[in-house]
Amino acid sequence: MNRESPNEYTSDFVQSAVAEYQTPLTRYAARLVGDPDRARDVVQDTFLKLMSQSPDSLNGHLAEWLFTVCRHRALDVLRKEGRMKRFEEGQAERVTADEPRVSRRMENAEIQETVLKLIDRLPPNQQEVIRLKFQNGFSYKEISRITALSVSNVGVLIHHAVHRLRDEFAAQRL
Amino acid sequence: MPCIGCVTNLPLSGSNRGTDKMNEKKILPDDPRLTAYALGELDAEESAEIARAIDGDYEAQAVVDEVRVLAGRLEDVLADEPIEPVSARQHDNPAADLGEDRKVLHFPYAWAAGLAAAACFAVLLVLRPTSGSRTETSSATVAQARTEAPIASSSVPADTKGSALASTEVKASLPQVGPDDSPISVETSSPIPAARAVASAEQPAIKVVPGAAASDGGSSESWSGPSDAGAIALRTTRGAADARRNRQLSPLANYGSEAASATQPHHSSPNYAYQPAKGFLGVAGYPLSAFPTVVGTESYANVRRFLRNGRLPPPDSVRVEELLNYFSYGSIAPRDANPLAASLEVAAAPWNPSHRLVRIGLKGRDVSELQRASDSRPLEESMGNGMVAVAKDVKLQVEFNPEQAKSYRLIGYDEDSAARTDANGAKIPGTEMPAGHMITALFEVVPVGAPSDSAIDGDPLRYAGTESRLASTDDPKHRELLTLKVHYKLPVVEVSQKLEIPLIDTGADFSVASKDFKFAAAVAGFGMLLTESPHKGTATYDKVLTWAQEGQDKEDKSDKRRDFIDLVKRAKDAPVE
Repeated sequence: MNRESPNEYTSDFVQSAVAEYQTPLTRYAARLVGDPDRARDVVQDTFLKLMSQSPDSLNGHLAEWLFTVCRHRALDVLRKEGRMKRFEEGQAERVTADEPRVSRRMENAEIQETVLKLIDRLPPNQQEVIRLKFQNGFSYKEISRITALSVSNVGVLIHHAVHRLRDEFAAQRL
Repeated sequence: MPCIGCVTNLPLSGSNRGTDKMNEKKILPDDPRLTAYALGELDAEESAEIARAIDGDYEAQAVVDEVRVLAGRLEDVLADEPIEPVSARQHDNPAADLGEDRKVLHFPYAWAAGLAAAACFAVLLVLRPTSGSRTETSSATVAQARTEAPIASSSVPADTKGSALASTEVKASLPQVGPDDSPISVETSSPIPAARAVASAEQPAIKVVPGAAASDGGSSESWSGPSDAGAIALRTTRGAADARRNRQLSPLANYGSEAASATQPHHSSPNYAYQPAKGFLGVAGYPLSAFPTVVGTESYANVRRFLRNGRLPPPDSVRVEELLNYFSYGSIAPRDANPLAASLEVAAAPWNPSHRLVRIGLKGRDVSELQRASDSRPLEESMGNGMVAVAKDVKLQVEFNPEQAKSYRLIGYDEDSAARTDANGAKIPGTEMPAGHMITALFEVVPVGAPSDSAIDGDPLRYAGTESRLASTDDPKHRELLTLKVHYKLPVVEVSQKLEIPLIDTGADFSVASKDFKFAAAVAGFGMLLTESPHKGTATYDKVLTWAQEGQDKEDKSDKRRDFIDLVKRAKDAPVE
């Protein structure tokens, strides 16, 4: 009984964490490692780690802890696969093909798709902080702890990303 | 505690703003602190510092606004982002490539192609002038329709009978013109469903409009008269008749106020440049009010973000019209082959019961329905490049009847407007109506006979001569509170069409208004509280909650209205800074 109680407690705790964070974590990890299957493994590992944590120690910081661990795990995967460079350089931008654009108002679904594509064209480090901020609702400080960047660095990355997106939205009349 | 302002690596500009404080420097628009400020990431002290620094700095303030708008959009878009990264999705879903790699550089090519297409239209138009004689007939038809079909409560659809008499709700579908009529400009004035049969059966052809030939569709000719090159050939054979028609087609035709020609509001873009009115406008001086077909909804996400963080959004970041249009409201779908349908409703303004609140909704036909309608096949084809507008060059105007309305204000938009004194307002650029899209506008109207209101600025009470002209007849016009005027063209066919829907106010109380009306009023009230609007009247968060709960729609699957109620509660509990 003595052993079971804390386990049940932990298990409930992990289960509710999985229910709440599995999707956002997978989405986050998929952008770091580049594909959803690896991302699922990374998230799986993250929750495994969570099971060894005392729920009380994470009180109020669960989301931040999960994203931090998830990120570490994702970078491990990249490192092992020799793809770390992609992430560290950060500035590599996809080469874009040219295509005439038509002046028109786009449908909502299309706007959604276009905005996501514009985000996907940001340097990876900007993409990451943009998603932590606007998809997962973390503050600059929380993002700073998750990514091990300074708060001002986070601020500058978000600033540049936001302004670049603003210009691109304007150019595309989004 | 980290201090973003202290450690930022972008220095302050060296230029002194010339204020009394030596150390107060101008903040460059590219300063990351502005972004942090806009996103609510600075602590109270830093935040106050930035607020001081950008006070009166309109460039910096515009940047802050833009960042907030963008943040809201990003939140909305990212909330629905698929788990799979784009690179993993691309092969599965070719449609996902639609928006890929657009480059602005190439825009002029598309634009030039559009010009070429427009030129073809111009030729077509000159080749097929219409007969002048139809003009006279149709004018008569229109006039007759107006007098024979007064819109009374009887025009309320059966399904809303319960509250119908109390809150007059008028719904009408716009007639459509088939491709055969393409070179002809049809001005269909069909006040009410009852009148609609008459108007569309006889296909009144009043005025030949020379396509949007000379421009690329964004800016079109004024609809109050032919004005560009394509019209010349037609005009030479028409002369006097045109002059008469133009007078008839003038936006002032309904209630005949002379003053308005110099004061029509105008807008140049569907979003933020549109700035109709500050406070209430006297109907005598400003009988017309325009509103756009499309507004953003980003402000709602911004408000939500602040409130979920336990803070009230900065008042100047809240755009009431965007909050209002974040929600969809019940509106009849366009019937048959019609591209648009409108619905109007009036009841007491809950925050000031001596005022009337008018809700106007205009809805574009859904694409799926469009494709089902067989006679829209040519339209479908033209939509090959993704064009999904069901109507273009849409101009929405409301004309108030000085006999019934003393003054009014369009709720939301920028209250500080230069537009209302714009003497060139007659040239209102039309905007597109996207398929399935709905635009909602609320007007707060001070009726004639209402107690005088300190909120009314200026001296709006001089409608010299306007009443006698109408009151001397039995024309049901003078019972109308206002008329919604819709000018539009079908996407392919360069045909101007016009719809007028008058609204008669039967004096309904707010309590008998429809759920949609109540919910819209709640959103407007919420917006006024957040913006600290001087027009909020007796509105409180508690009252807004009540209105919203009464307006809750059980069939709202998106939970948007429930989320709204949650936000109101948060606003009520948020500390006032």
